[in-house]
Amino acid sequence: MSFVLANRVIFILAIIGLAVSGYLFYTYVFNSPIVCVNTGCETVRVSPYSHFFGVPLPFFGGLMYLGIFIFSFTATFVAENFVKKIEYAIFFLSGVGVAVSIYLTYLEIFVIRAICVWCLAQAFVILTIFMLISCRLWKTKHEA
Amino acid sequence: MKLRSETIFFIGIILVSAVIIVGAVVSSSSGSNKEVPADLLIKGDSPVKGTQDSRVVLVEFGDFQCPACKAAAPVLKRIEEEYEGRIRLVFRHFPLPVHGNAQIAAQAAEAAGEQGKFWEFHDILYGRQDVWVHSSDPKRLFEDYAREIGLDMGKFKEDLDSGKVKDKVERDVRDGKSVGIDSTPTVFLNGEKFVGVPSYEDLKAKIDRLLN
Repeated sequence: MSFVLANRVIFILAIIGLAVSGYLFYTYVFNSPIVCVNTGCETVRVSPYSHFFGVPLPFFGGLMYLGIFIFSFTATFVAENFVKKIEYAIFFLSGVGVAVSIYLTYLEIFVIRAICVWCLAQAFVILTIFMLISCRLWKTKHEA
Repeated sequence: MKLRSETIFFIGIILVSAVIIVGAVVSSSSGSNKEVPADLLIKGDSPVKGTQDSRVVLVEFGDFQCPACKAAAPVLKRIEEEYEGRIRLVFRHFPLPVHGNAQIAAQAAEAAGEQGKFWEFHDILYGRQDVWVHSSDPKRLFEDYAREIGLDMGKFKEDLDSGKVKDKVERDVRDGKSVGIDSTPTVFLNGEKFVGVPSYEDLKAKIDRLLN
């Protein structure tokens, strides 16, 4: 896959990730009516693992996707030699995202014992971005 | 500065995404607010407080293990007391599967109801929610509560697991789902839906309008 095509896919995935994180952040902060809901997301949301130092986790997810979004967009107009740096930046960001997502999914399954489909959707998105960028980096390394 | 075609393409993606997201937000927020038919909300054998033939009917779909329902209980009680003789309060069960002890609590309340003491049991369940929700053997606690309000213990134990009581709770859940409930408490005031803990002022204003 050429970088142009990979970057297009990553860009769209980053937008999807941003939308999911944005939606979750909104429900964490504003849309929390005092109700009991029969969904895994609600169970996850009220668990002690849903915030990190008082900040809702979707906020950090949103920041990560915003970073990838900006990097991916920047790659469309910067010089060729700068694109390599952007690839590494996306690789690093999504790598952290995948690690955190694996840990959080582990928490959902084994500790909280509830699954939130939005969290899983997000994990799938970041994993796909990570695999795409890893393939790109691996390929260019071997081409060089 | 002249934009590269790829950059313009990406801006296009941003615009299309924005349209899709805005469309999704708008369509999800414009839910229908139609009144729910009374025959689905009110069943002849449901626990009821107040006057049978009153024009104003409050129906609560509740889960005894839900903290929000516990918070709603005093609001509904206050309304019921204030409008005594003029409104009817109906309780429907909606034990959520995420609440491990909610189903058996609903059955226990119905078993108390078999002896005419649903509301006494209802009050104890909410009042002592913190105690029994974490219990691995809630039945034993419920038996203590039943003894406290002077129920016939043999009958209570028998009714607790009876098909009649289970069917009643199941039917309530089915009705709740068919009127689109997915969270508790959900209160219907003459068919108008309120999700979450209703505010006293809000209910009062609406009831006053219905009564006048």
